[in-house]
Amino acid sequence: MLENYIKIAWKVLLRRKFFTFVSLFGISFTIFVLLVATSILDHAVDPGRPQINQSRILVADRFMATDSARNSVWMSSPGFMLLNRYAKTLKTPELVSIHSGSNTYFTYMEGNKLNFTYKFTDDTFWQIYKFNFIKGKPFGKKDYNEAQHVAVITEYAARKYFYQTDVIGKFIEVDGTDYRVIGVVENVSKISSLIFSDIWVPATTSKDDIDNEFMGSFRLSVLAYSPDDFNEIRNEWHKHLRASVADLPENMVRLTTLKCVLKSNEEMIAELLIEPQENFDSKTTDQEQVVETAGISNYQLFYLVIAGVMLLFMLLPSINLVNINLSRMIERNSEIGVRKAFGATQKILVGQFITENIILTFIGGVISLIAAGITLSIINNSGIIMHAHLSLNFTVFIFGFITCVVLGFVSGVYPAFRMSKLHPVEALRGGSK
Amino acid sequence: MIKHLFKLIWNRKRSTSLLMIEVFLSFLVLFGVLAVFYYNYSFYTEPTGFEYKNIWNVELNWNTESDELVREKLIQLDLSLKNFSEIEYHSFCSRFSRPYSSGMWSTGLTNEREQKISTVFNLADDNFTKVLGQKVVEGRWFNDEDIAAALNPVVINDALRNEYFGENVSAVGKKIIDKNDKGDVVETYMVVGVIDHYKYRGEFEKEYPLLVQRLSLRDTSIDAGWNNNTMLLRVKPGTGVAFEEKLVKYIVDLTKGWKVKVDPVEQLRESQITEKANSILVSSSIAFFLILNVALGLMGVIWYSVNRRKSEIGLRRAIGATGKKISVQIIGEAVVLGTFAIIIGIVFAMQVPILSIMDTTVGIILTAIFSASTLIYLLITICSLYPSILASKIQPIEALHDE
Repeated sequence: MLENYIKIAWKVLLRRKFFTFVSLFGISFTIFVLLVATSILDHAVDPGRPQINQSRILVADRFMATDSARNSVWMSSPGFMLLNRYAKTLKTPELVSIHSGSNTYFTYMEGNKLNFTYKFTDDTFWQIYKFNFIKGKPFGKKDYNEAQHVAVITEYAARKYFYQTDVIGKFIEVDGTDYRVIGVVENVSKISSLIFSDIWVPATTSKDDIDNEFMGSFRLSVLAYSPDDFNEIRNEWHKHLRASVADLPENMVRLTTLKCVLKSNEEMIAELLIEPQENFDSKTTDQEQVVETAGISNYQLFYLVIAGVMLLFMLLPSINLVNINLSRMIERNSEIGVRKAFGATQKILVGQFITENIILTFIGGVISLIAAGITLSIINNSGIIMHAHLSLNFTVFIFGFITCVVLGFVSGVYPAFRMSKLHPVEALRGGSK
Repeated sequence: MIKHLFKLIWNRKRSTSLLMIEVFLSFLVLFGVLAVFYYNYSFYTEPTGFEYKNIWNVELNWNTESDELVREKLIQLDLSLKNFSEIEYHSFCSRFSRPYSSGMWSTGLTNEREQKISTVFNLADDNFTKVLGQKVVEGRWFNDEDIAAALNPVVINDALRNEYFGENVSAVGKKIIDKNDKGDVVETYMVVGVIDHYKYRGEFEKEYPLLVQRLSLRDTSIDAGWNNNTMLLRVKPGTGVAFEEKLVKYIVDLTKGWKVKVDPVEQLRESQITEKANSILVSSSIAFFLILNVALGLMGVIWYSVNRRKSEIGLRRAIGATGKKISVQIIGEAVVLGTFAIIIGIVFAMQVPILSIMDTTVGIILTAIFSASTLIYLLITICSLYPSILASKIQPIEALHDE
């Protein structure tokens, strides 16, 4: 029977080419835009290497200190000293890493101005984030503790600075200091802003007085043994955070309420779209409670917003398709009349027309898949998003598939229903209101 | 005629209601994109009040150094820059005063009529207008006369003068009093000059009331670390990266290891404009394809309805209607339908200024509504044109045959 449906659908498509074109154009364009958006989102949620452990990683990048009356609020990233003393000692996670935000510097070479991003990290950074080493190796505990001037650089930085990638043992100038290159890694997409950089050097080599920085520009990444441990880790971290009050610098002694939430990747992305509600109610004494509600509700809201935007975006093309389908119905009056006269029920007819519509949508889906593939490779090559490697992976494909079914169903159901309700006699006569 | 068209549409309300929703949604999409565009464009057309060619922004950063040492090095730098023939003028300012700065420092000032004016504060030295070329419309810019002035000398912009003192009231020689919430006087400023514009955050920014305080490297009451780290240079035309490198090396040597970052203001401007243009481009191209999609669909539907109403049209022809009249009817019906959709759309669009969703003037919203409506009418006319020509060619005989 399905074979018959497909045959009929094909014949109908060929009958009025203009309409087929309009329908296909609308369908492919809609799915195309959604596919491109999804692949960018997917790239952010699940970037793959080096963040293959993503689902087990928690990150803290914001720090807030307030006094009990909440009159003064200090906000920034946590400082090196705070994390080094109180986060490095966490027992529950598998690994703990401290790494800085992005720093940029310029250097001049043969009349050109080069711009590089660099980050200060520790040795565990390389164990949590699995970078793909083209040459050499990351710096280890010994290099870190002894504050060796060694650097890991990306392929991009190597080519810019040395015009080649075979650079192990050579020296690169990072903000006025020479560092020996010990590893070259594949480029990292700028979407992964937490770890994106051109150059990584041991935090112990920083010229700033980071050993006394309670607040500063560092981030904390912890790798859990399993996502089930997240709450346990958060609880332990908050115990440590409360203990850290003892080390508050002089100008902050009154600010004894500290907040530094460990967030999963999804919660981090959600924050990009929805500013976190600082529900730092002075009445709330139970810190852990605040932690849980702050992150998770944002994260759900984020997906709601995304789903809402996508539905709104699909609304207009869907109504357009409904209109076109309604119009096309008329030319099939006689067909419906005959089928009804020979005993086809309303249900069967609705099923047939929806199937037809879904087939049409799938053809559109294939077209959009090709178009999206081409567009993504253009985006990758254009450098709009630095070092991005957007691709049509399985997740994106599944999303495209679901979109097709939904679009085909939504735009087919009302016309099909209208069509199936035709009275056979009226349909055969070819007239309807 | 119009009444008749309404009747025709009303009779087919079930099939036209979906079309109407479609046109209504298209209107909203067009309105949204146009409103954002006009909003940005209205700022873009307002003058920024400064020049951007041959001006370099130099950011200086130092690690923990004492205020005295920083001040000493800055004064040394200030004196030695005069030796470079490539630099015409140089000026020190705070990081929130330079062109295309991302930051803002603002305070509420209360005037005599007890109106609170949210005012942006800048901090710049005597050479600021020589570098950036702001136009002084009243009084003067800072100069040596301001050394040891009794009251803190300030230059304000036109917007602050109008809001604080009243439209076109002379401000020079008058005082601006900064009070805190309790009404205590925090600071009293003396206006020495008025500039016309200085939208320092760039083309796409609203012009805020602005108050510029005088910066002097020798003034120890100003915190050196936070406020003096930006320097603007007006260089001779054609000065390039080679001099930039030389200058950076010179400053690093002189200051013994400060971090120096040089950005030509023209590049800062370009990157800001490109960013804005890209976001507008993406949203408007998505809107364009959505509307194109709708237009094609609309054309198809009208075409079908013409085919379906062959007998009706043939009958009209038979009793004497000309082809032209038939065309007008088809287009007219579409236009009436569009009008309904637009009216609903306007009701929704007017919520933007009423609920103050966007910080914008009614003028921009009205322009956006007007142009979105025009575009929708244009779209409808174009979409119904071809079907209407087809309709006008229907012969009475066809209609009779059809029955």
